[in-house]
Amino acid sequence: MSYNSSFKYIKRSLPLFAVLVIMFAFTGILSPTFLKVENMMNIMLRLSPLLVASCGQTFVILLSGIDMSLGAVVSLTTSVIALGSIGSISSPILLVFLSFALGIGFGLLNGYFVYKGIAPIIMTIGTSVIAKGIALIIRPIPGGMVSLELAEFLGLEFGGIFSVPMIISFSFFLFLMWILHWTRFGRHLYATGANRDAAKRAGVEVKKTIILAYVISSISAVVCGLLVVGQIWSGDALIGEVYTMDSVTSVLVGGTTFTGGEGGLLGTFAGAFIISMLSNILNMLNVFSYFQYIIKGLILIVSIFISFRFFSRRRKVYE
Amino acid sequence: MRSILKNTILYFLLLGIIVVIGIISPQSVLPNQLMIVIAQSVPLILAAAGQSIVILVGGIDLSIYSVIMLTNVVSCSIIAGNPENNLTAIVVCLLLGVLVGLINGLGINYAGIPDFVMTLGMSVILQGIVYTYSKGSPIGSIRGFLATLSNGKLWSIPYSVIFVSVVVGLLMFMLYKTTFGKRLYATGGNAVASKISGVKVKLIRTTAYALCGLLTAMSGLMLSGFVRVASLGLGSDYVMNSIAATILGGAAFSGGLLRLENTVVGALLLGFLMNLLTILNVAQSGKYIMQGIVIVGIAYAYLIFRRSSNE
Repeated sequence: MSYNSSFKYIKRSLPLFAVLVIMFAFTGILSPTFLKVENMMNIMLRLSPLLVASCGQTFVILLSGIDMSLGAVVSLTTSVIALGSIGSISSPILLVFLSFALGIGFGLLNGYFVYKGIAPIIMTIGTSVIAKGIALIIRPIPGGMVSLELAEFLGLEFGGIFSVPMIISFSFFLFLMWILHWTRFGRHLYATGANRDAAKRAGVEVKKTIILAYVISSISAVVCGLLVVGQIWSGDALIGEVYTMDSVTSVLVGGTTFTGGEGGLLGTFAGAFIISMLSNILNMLNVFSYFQYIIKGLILIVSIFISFRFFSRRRKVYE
Repeated sequence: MRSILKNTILYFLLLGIIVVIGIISPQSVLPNQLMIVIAQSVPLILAAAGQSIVILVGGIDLSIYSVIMLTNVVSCSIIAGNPENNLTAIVVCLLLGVLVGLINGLGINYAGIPDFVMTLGMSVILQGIVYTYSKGSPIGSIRGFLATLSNGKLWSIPYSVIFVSVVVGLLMFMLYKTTFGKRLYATGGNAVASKISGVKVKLIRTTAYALCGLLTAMSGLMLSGFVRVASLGLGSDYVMNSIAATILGGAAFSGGLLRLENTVVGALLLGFLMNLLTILNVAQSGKYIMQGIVIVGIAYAYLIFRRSSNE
């Protein structure tokens, strides 16, 4: 990304950060406990896995794809990590490696067939069901115990304001930011997302780019799963489902569009922040939990409407 | 040769599954048993028909689960054990379905919100409404007409199968014989060309979503008739299964391709596949894996057929 376009991109993400600041100020005034350190730590705890998942989802959506299997891979990871309790595989490091291997496997599968031409939503729904099945075989009912060292490490807090999940998710975010905005692969990704044929003619290795994007998405699902393990200390074959939708929402709220090749990780960061603060804010304002669904759905639709109407460069062809 | 294979692969698969079922457990292929599996597939056939029509015009509807949940909870609470309230319940639920579909269609086509986001958002909103309305513990039960429709039989054919045949027949007539149907295909095939040719593309797409809402509401009512009580998890697999049935039926995701009878066979195929796995004593986890493999495999097979017929 050139300096000029990255400047434009940062400028385009500014309204989102303005929304974020307004949300902070508004809730801070209405509910004095909101700005306390404990509550901020709560928000960070909720943000960390979502941020990681959303970053991965961004890569795929930039290719006008979607990864519906993300949540299932999150669940699969928690199930695999919790295998330790059965005693079949005791080393937590081995289990972490196994999760990554499974995740990368699903990423390769998604990427390869999407490159071959299966609609991303079909392909990833298919693999999500497969991953769900495998997770349910490993862990038919939620439970199991995670190796204590690993769980404690993943939930470690220090200095009053820092925690391991926060550090992992933020460094993951920065790492992907580097990949997307400062490497050749990142430029190829934007090119492929904007116009696949043109990119191919310009010498972009489209196949490699697409497959790698889906692998990154699956890897981030595995990392997200590890962070979830740090919170629940056990395995659950269904716990990750929510991250599919929430990650897509964060990415879209963050201004990346389904048309492909437009958007980026800075917006996703703001989007994930907004989504993970939303429940907290609604709780702080004493909104009935069932009613929160309605508000969340409305915010999803309205925010996408606004970002499409006012911030998108491209319009649908038939309009 | 390949095109013949492409058009008949689905029927062979269905036949194959039934033959396998017959080999493993001969009493499961008696007409009565087969009829039970078909009757169980009726709600899915209705939902899949709706999904197919939306996919035909190049969209997708992810709110199917929530619409089914909504009709289930609303119909149960209206009927509440009193058979006389059936008509009110059916009218209210069908109207709700159309309304949801209409809002989806309007949001997607006139406000320019991507179909995926609009229907997903709608799904979350509806869940919120259902939870708020039922306060988390839905009440009521179904008696009378709906229960009879879902469970009763005329000689040995279930009413539900007769009903779904009529609905599918009407839909096929609409799709293949009427101007509206032609416009649906035109819109899905090439929206820009259709628009230039004078087709009101946005209106057609919106109608498709409303139609999907109506069919989903029917599906929800049939399902409620089967279970006869209100349940918040009802229909949770229907979004995925309706998409799967459509894909099995060979409709492309880019729109413009649909044989509704193939979608129906796709839904039946899923029904019989689950039946087979149940007979084989496969756990839910194994069913999921099998289903995923079938979805991916069929999608890939059609892709190869389509590519080779283009060449």
